Amino acid sequence: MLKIEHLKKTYGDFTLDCTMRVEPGCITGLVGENGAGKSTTFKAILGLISADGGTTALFGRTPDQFTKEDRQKMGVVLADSGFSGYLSVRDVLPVLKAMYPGFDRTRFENLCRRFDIPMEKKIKEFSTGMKAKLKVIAAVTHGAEILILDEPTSGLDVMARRDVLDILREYMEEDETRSILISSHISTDLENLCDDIYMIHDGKIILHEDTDVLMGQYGLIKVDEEQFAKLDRSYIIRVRRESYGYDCLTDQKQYYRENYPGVVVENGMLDEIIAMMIGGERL
Amino acid sequence: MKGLLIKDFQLVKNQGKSLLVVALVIAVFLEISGMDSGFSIGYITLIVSIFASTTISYDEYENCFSFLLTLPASRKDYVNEKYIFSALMVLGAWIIGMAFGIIFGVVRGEEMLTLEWFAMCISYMSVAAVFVSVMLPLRLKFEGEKGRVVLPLVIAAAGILIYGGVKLADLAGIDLMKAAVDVLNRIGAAGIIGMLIAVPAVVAVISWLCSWRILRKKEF
Repeated sequence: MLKIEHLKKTYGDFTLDCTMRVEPGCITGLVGENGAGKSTTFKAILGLISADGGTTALFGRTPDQFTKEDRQKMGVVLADSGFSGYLSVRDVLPVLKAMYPGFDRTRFENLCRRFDIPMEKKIKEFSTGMKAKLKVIAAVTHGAEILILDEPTSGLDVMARRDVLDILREYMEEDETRSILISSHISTDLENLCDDIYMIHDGKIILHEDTDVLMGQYGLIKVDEEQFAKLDRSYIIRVRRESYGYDCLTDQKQYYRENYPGVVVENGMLDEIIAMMIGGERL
Repeated sequence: MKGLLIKDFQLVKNQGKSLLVVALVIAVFLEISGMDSGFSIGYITLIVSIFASTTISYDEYENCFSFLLTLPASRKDYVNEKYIFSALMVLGAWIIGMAFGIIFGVVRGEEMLTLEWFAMCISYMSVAAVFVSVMLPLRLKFEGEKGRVVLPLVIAAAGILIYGGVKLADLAGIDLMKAAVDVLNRIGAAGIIGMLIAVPAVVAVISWLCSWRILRKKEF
């Protein structure tokens, strides 16, 4: 569905070099800190910025080859951009209807009602949560084949985040060939939603793994100096020095649980994996 | 492109209503205070042409521009839409202004519907069209605050250029006013109307090419 090969973009000291794929029927997450290159990648996919090198292809076409029909098959949410604040949702309806032949007005209105989105109020008077939900509702109600969502849950409280994720799950349940590319710096959102996750740091993809593997096989081993000396390091990906000894990231936690019964092996939460991948050292 | 046009007309509905009311009130005041009947036509047309170019600022508000370009509308669609929208706005305002001017003209018993009168009315639209043509690429090039600073600068620059030109001609011993009147007399009212249509048309085409070039290269 979406293929990115060594996409390059340079801004001063920052250089993006990103390779990733989104397969049909999959929800792919892109996780990384602020400034890691998530938004730059999204902008390049959508043709909002020109790439310095590499290629991005969505539906087999580069951004400058996109047709109107291609764009109608995308649902896009950008973190810091949406409909003009001077319009109300009521004003936006005819715009969406004119833009998308597949626009489902009834569903749009039902979702707005369900998530308490006011129809007559100007969008600039909306809360952050309302704005975010409106953007996602607009993206999922025209029969898009792929959603490209840059930080759709950014700045939202727990309830609003849950609402947004619910809308996305419903979107996927309607048609199993649909795909989502979603970025977030809130990793719990992605842990529970995505099929696979790319981790980006300083413009580079530092990890790509199925979420099941990340949750099921990755773990954090906590050891003191003595235990660390005896530890088999074949499956240790990163090590970080701590006050009590070492934290070790492994992608074979079962192996260590079975062979080192006295050692603490915690399940890998995405936040911890990210922290280790970025802050830890290779052996 | 239809969607973009609808969006801009929705913005007009929301933001332009008060503007048009103010324009009409001032135009009435100008008419009552004894200004020429054509003045309200020019006034309303120009006010609306300023508004047409400022819809780009509404698109830029809170970064909306990048979102607009992810909708099924290409960058070229966006440029085309701005020109079509501005043309419709200027034409609409001109027709309203004309209707308004004609009513006052009839009430006052002024002589109207002559070729000269038409030339004067068309001249207002020409000025508005040139104004929009200059403003659209500038608004696209200079965003937000910068865009607001550009307008007075452009007016000041145009003033300096004209003043400088006249001064230079004076120094060179050429009476520009007389020369201009001579030329206008020679081409006649029909010629003047032709010129009033041709000049803005050429300016608009150049303006479109500039706008397209600016937006094509713009990074978001």
